[in-house]
Amino acid sequence: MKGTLNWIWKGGGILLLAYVILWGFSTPLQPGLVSCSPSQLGLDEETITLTAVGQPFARDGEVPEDFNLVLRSGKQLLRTEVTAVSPHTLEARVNVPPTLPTRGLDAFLLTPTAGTLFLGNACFVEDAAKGDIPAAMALSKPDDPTPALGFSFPFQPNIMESIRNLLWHVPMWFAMFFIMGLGFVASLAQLRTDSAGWDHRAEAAVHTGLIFGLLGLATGSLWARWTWGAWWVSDPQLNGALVTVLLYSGYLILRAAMGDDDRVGRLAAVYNVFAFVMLVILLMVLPRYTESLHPGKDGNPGFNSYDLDNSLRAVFYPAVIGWGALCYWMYTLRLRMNRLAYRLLTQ
Amino acid sequence: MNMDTIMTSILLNNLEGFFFGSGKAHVVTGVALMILCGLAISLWRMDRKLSRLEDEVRSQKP
Amino acid sequence: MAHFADTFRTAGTIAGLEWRLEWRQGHQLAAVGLFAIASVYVAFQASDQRTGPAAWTAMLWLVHLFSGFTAIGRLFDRERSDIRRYLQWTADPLGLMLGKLFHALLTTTALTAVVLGAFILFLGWPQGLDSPGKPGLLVLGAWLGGLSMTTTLVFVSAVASQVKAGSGALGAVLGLPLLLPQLILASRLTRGALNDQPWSMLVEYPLFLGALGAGTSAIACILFPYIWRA
Repeated sequence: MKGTLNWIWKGGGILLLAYVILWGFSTPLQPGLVSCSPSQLGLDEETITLTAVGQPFARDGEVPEDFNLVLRSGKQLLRTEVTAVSPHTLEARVNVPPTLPTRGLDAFLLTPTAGTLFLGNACFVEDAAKGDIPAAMALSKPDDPTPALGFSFPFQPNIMESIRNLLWHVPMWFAMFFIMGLGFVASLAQLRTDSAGWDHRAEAAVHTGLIFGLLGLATGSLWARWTWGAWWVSDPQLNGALVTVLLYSGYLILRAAMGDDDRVGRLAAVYNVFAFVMLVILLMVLPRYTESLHPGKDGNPGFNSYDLDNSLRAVFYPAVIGWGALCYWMYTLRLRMNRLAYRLLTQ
Repeated sequence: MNMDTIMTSILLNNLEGFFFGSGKAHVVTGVALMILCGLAISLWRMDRKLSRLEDEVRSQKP
Repeated sequence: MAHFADTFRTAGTIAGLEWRLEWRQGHQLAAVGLFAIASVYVAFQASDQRTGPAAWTAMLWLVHLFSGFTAIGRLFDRERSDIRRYLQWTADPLGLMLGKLFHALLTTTALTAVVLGAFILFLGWPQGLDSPGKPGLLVLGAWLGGLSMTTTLVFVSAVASQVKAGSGALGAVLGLPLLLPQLILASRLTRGALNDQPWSMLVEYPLFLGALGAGTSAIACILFPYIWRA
């Protein structure tokens, strides 16, 4: 009975991860505008082209008249005329007035099926004088269309398709925190009782947690490359993550240096308690008080909208459970290995 | 950091257009699933081996 | 209450003992000073006459870091083995830790003075240090950074001293990653002071450094009894 239950959670974790991989990579991204050319407009009639990524915002059979492109300057709106549309691009003619409230223009593209797409500061009009848009060209606020998109991931500027990494990077760190927390508790118990059993648990936890920490660093670095443009940047959260991984590597080095000294359990427990306190300070306390690029902390609140999206949630929660189960499985394997090795040594 | 530089670098890297547009995402899905399968099988084998060794050690004890 | 008084008496005795040991074995103190001054001289030779803030900061903290290692790294295995065994059986571990910590903080203060003095002597104040009050902030940053670094080093050398073989190298391996946060904060403070950043942006760094130092010494004091009488 116990054996069956064991295989259910182990197999269940793997199945959840398979589901996460399948859905994570095949769910389409909602369309989003990424660029507008030309980015500088003159003062007369101009043609602009907007480019989008993600799933197509225009379906077959849809004509330019179905779309409405509105440019916003300050709080006023400017009329345009959509001339051509393809699944990922849209051309529009715009009559640029000589006076504008601001020189930067934001674009709102109202589509029949994909809702309203937004591109901030899509283009600039350097030569415009400051003033209101002439009444003939101005527009009152049109009604927002209701999107009829299927199951799809939200578009975030900058992050775009790489949003799928959320299903890898974040749960990996969650799993790492979870298992390191387990190791911390085991080390505290080790200091109280001084028994080898707790030491085996702590070692297994750190060993597994370190693997997940390294994976978290690798996926994070990959993500940083796409969104921030560099494999590594100096940021409180990233520094903390690196130091944490180095710290726990130090734990394994300490154990290796002690060899079969019989004080290894207690010394390693002391080091582990210290390391976990540092982990909490470095990853949970310090980044909150300093400016950080990293989402979930100060400085990038835009990421919070992730939590509200149902389609992402439907894959993210299984990912957290799946990675957690995998991590715990690896931990139990390492723990049993430690116990067996101890058994053989002491016999 | 300048937003424009980041945008340009992303468009040049062409993750969006090439990777997902050309259907290469299925290759990624396939590779990831294969890695997951390999991991699951190796963990399962290790689990079985450990159970066997545990039984052995238990039976050796008088 | 009597217990606490006992602890503090032990701490005082140990600190005094360390102090006398330091003077009697004068070569250790001299070695650290020599190391610091020679390193600064190398930095002086490697740079041109007008050093910018970034290079100045980098050199200051590299020299400070390795001098700190040299000075504090062997704090827990300096005594002869019979004295050590005597201390293990008789002294209150918390008092011993406090005494050693106090001694380490004193040493670091002296070390900071030596390193900073050598820097000013050879390299001069860095370019761009114009506004009033900034030299004081620089000195405060170097001192606080040094103290914060030292509390961690004391803990690491206590752990490393328990390992029989090659504890010196192990101390460096374990210590460097642990010192990274302190070094990042301290070098940001130094660079910010040199780059004329406003006070409001700099004031958090001394607070963080102080908090980190206090935190690590508190954990070190709690955990030390477990390693000392293992």
